[in-house]
Amino acid sequence: MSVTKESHGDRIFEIVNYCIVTLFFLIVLYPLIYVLSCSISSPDLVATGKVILLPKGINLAGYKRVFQDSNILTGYKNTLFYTAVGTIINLIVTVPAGYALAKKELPGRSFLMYFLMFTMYFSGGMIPTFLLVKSLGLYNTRTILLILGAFNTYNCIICRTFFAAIPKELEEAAEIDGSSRFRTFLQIILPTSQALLGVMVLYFAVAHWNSYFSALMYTSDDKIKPLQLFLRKILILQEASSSMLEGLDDDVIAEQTKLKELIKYSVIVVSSLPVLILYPFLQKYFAQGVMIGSLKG
Amino acid sequence: MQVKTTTNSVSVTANVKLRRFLKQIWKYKAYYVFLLPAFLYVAIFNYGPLYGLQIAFKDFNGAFGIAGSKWVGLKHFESFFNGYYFWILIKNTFVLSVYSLAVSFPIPIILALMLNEIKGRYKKTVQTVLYAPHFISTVVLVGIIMTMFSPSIGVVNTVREFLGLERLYFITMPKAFRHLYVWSGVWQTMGWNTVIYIAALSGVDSELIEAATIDGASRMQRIIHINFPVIKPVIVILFIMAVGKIASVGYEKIYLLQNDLNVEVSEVISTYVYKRGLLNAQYSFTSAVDIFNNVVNVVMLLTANAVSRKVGETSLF
Amino acid sequence: MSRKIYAIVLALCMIIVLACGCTSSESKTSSEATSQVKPEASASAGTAEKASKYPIAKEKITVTAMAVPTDVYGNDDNKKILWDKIEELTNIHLEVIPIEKEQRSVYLASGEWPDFFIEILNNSEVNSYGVEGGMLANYNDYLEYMPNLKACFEKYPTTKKIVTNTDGTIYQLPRLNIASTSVSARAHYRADVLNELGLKIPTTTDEFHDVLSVIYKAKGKAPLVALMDTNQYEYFLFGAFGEATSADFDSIDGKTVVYNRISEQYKHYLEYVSKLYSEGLLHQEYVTLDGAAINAMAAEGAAVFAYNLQTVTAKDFASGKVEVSTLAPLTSQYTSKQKLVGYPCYNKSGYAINKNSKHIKEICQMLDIAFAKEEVAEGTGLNGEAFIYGVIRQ
Repeated sequence: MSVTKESHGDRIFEIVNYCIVTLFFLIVLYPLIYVLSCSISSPDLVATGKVILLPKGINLAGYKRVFQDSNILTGYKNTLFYTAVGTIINLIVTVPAGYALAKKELPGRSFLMYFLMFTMYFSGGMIPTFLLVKSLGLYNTRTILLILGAFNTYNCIICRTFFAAIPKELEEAAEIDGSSRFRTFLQIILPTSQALLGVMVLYFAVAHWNSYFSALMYTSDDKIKPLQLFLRKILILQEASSSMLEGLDDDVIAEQTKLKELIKYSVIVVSSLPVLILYPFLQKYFAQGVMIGSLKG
Repeated sequence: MQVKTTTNSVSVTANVKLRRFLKQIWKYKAYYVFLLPAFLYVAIFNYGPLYGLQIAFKDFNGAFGIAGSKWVGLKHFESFFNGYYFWILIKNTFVLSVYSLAVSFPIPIILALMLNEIKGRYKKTVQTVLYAPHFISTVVLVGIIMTMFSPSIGVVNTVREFLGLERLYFITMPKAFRHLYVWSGVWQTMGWNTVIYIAALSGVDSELIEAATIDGASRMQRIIHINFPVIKPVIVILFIMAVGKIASVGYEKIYLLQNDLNVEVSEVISTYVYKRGLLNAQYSFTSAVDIFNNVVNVVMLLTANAVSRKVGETSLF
Repeated sequence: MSRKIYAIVLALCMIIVLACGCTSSESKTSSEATSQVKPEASASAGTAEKASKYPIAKEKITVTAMAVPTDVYGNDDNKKILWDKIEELTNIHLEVIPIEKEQRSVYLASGEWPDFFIEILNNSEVNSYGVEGGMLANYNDYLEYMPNLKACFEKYPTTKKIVTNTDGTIYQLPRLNIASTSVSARAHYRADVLNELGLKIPTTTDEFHDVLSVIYKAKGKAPLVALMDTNQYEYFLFGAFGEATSADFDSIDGKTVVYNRISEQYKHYLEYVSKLYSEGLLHQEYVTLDGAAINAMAAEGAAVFAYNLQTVTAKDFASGKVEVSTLAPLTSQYTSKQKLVGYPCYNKSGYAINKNSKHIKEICQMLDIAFAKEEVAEGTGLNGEAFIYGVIRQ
C-alpha cells in the first residue's frame, strides 16, 4: 500500500517535471526558429516585424552570399583541423594537471594553484603577448592557433573538482596491485571519468570552433584562417560594400543594403549548426552510473 | 669539539629536511610530469608578457615601447576614481552582476536535476535545443530582444494588449533594462550551463538510488538527499569562480541595448572605458581600469573562498 | 654628312612617336574597371610629360604598404586594379600587407613597419608616432618630389592647413573632394505620397507640421521616422529654430564656445518635436528604429520623411518610377535663413610614410599622382579636376 502511495506522488512529480521541462524547451525553441526563419525570409518583412514564426518571402540570398565565398571551404577545413588537434592538445595539457592538483598530498600544491590562478586575473595585455608570439617565430603559423589556450585554468579547476570526488579506494586498490601512478591514471581514473572528459571535449571543441580573436591577431595568410574569420569578413564586407554603391542601379543598391541584414542570420546558422549536431554523439558519456561495480569486491 | 658537533647537527638537520623534501618530490614525480606542460605553457604565455602590466602606470606611446614610455604612477587610476561617473559606474556594474549571478546561477542546476529525471530521445532533443542559444551572437540576440519587445510589432506587447494591459516601450525604460539584460542572459546560457551539472550527476551511484527507492523514498527525496549532495562540490567551486568574475561585465551586449533614455542604469565600467577608448587609443587608461577590475575580482574570490572554507569542506584554495 | 644628320633626326622622330604611341595606347586600354568607375580617358594630355617622369624607378622596386584589405581591394579580392595601373606606370611594385582593423594598434606598437601606411593611422597615432615619436617621414622635406601636391597646396590652402601638425610637420596627405555635394541630414521624402494627397511642399516648420498631420490622418501611420541621420546629425529640424546648426558644442565667430543643448534654440526645437511626438506624427519608436526598419517602412510607404531613402526601388511606387525628392531646409518664426551642413571637402587621407623606409623619394613621387590635374594613370587624379564623377579611393 505504501508503495502505491509513493508511485502516485512520483507520477505527479513526473508529470510536473515533464511540463516544466517542456516549458523551458518551448521558451528556448521559439527564438531559435525565429532566427532560422529570418535567415531565409525577405529582409523587408523581417525588419517590419511581419516574420513572427514561419519564414515569409523566402529569400536564399543570404546563404548564397555566404557560400559563394570560396574561402568558406578553406575555413571549414581549417576549423575542423584546429578543433580536432587543438582539443587533443587541450586535453593533454589541462586534464592531467587537474588530476595532479587534486592530490592533497602533493608538495607545493598551494603554490602551484596560486601560480596557475594568478594569470586568470592578471595578464600583460595584447601588445606584449603579440611581441612574444612574434619573437617565438610563431606568428602566422598553424601552431600558434593550436597552442594558444592550451591550458585553461577554469577547466582545470573543474577537472580537479571531479577528480577529487573519486573515492580513494579505487586508486589504493590499483596501487596494491602494483600499478604505477601513470598507469593508474590512464587505466583506472580516465575510464571512470567519462562524463568529465565529455564535458572537457565539449568545452574545448566549442571554444576552438567559435574562436576568431587569436586568428585575427596572429594570422595574415588566408590559407590558415578559420571559418569564423571568413564569416566575420563577409559581414564586414557587406557593410563596406553598401557604402560604396554610388553610381549603381537603385535595385542593386537596395539588394546589397538589405543583404546585410539577411547575412547576420545566415552566418549564425552556418557557423553553429555543425556544433549543435555534435552534442548527441557526446551525450552517451553523460549517462549515469558508469562507476557501479568498480568498487565491489 | 662540542661546538663542532652542534654546527654539524644544525647543518645535518637542514640537510635532512632538504633530503626529505626532495624525496617527496621524487615520490610524486609522476604528478609533476602531469603538471609540466601546463606549467610551461603558463610560464611562457602568461607570465612572459606580464611585464605589460606596467602600461597602466605609464603614458604608453608605441613609438617608445613599454620601457621607453613615461612613468606616471597612479595618474590613470586617479583619473578613473575621480571621474564624475565613477560611483554610478560601480553601482550599475555591481547591480547587474549580482542580479545576474543570483538568477542565472541556480536555474541551470534546477534544470539539470530535472533533465536528469527524463530519459530517451526526447531528452536528447530538448538538450540540443537548450544549448543552441549559446551560439547566437550578441548582435542577433539584441536584435531579437528589440523585435520581441517593440511596442508596435513585438510579441510581448501584443500579448499585453490581449490581456488588457497597455503597450510599453520597454527598451527605453530604465526600470526594464536590468531585467531585459539579466533574463536574456539566462535564456542564452541556462542550457549550456547544465552540461557540467549533468556530467556531475553521472557520478551518482545507481545502486544507492535503487536502495533508496526500495526503502520508500519519493523522487523529490531522492533528488534532495542523493543527487544534490553529489553535485554540491561542483556547485560550490563554480559559485566561487563566478563570484571571482563579478566586476567583469562585458560591454558588447550592454552597448547594443543602451540608448539615451536608459543610460543612467546601463552605463557600466566596460562601456565607459570602451567609449573613452574610441576617441584615442588609450591603452594606459584601459590597462589601469583592467587592473582595478581584477583586483576587485580577486578580493571577492578570496572572500568567497574563505567563507566556503568556514562553512563546508569544499573550497578553491 | 647631311644625309647622316637627316637619318639621325628621322630616327629620333620615330623613337619619339613610338614612345608617344606606346604610352597613349596604354591609357586607351579598356579595363574591366571597378563597377563604380566611368573614367574619361584623357589620352593625349601630357603624354610627353608622362614619358619623362615615368617610370619612377629605373629598376623595379618593391615597397610594402600596410592596409585594411577593403581599402585597397574594394569589393573584389585580389584585384587592386587602381594600384596595378599605377604600378604599370611607375615600375614600383606594391606589396600589400593586409591587416584587420583590430590588429592595427598591436602592429604599430610591435615596431615592424612597412614602407608606408594606407589609411591605417588615426589622429592620435599620428601624434604619438609622428609628432612625439618621430617615426614618420615629414612630407615637407620631400615637396620637391611632389610638384602636384605643391600646386594643390597653393591652389587650395586649406588642404595644407588640414594636414599640418602643431609643430609644422606634415605626416599625412590631404584628401580633396572639389565636386562634393554631400550634405548631412538631408530629409528625403516620398513625393508620390504628397502628390496623392494634393499637398504642397512645406517650407516652414508650421507647414511641415500641417503636412504631417494630413498624411497621418490619411494613412494612419507616423510619417516622420527619424530625427537624426546615421551620423547622428539632428540639425535638420534643429537648424530651423535659430542660427546654429550644431546641437552640441559650437563656436561663435571663432572665439566663444557655446553649448547649444542649453540654448533657446534647442528649447524651441524640443517643444516642436514634443508636439510632433504627442500627436503621433513622429514614430513612437524613433529612438530605437534601426536603418533596416526605416528602409523597410519607406519601401512600404509607411515612412514618408526620412534620411537616406536610398533603398526604395521602382517597384515600391505605383507609378513604377522612383519618386523621392529632397526637402529644402525649413524656416520658422525664429529664423529665415535656410541652412545646409555639408561634409567637409577637405580631409586627411592618411598616407603616412615610415621614416626608415629606403624608398621615401619614390613613394612620394608615386603618391603625387593622386594630386595630378589630369589622369596620369587610369582612375587617378584630383577628384573634381581630373574627373568629375566616380569615386576612386585616392
